Amino acid sequence: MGDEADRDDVRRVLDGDVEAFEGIVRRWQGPLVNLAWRFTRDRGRAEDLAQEAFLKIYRNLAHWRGEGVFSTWLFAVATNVYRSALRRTPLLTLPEDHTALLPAETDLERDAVARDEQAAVRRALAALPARYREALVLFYFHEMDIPAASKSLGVPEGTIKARLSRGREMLRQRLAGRVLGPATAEGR
Amino acid sequence: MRDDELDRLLAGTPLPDPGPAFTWAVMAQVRREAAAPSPIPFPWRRLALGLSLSAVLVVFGIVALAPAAGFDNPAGAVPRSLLEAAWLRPALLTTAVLFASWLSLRVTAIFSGSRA
Repeated sequence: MGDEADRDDVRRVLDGDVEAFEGIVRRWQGPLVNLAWRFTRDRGRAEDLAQEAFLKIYRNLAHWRGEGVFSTWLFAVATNVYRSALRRTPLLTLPEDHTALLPAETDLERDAVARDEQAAVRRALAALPARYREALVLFYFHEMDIPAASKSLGVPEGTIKARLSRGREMLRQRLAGRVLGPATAEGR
Repeated sequence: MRDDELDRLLAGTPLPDPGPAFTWAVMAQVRREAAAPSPIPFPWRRLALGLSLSAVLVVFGIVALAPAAGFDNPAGAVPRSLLEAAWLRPALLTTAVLFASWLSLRVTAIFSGSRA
């Protein structure tokens, strides 16, 4: 249904109806901003990058051959835009917090622990080499779907699997003793 | 750290969808893009034609002018079999005349403001 609507809008845009592009923007703005946010972890920058991606998608609409699902092509174009932008202006990597978190006792403390965990993971992820970071970002964005992540990045599935494995190992090492998940925290 | 913990942390919570202001901003850019005149393509065909004719003229210059200047095929720049071919001089002369005519037509067109 979504793909039919996309194909219809693409056809209309290519026939000269610019306003038909709005349908594509409305359907895909959420996922594209979210994907950009996973790359940048900054809402403002994510929206700027998603705008840039939509503009590129509009310019290159005639290059979509209509063979696969429209969203596969759309995510591949957006991923390229985000990766290029991050190469031009890399993420600001904040110094890692080396304080191990203590087990939480109350809801407020648990919230604080959860926020700290997310911040620690964000910093560790931002500090990874681009190839591992990109594989992890796309894998989790596509809800752990390796074929979808491989199409978005334009690399074979085996490469994604290898990068995921290495990236997760590097993350584990960087986060060791620093992050306590709820299960671990409650168990102590 | 266990795999499921890492999955939970990396999956994170998605952002809420951007609002109508985002759609409006994207569509404003798209409309601007659609209204802008398409870029003028680089005239590769004309460039290729000009370069080919110029190359022919250079060969013509060597063949026609070198003997007159007292150089007989300097440093063997042109193969002797080519220099002795009967068709060479008329062909080069015709090309040179055509090129000169085309060039003067283009220059006239440029200065008179029309597009040939």
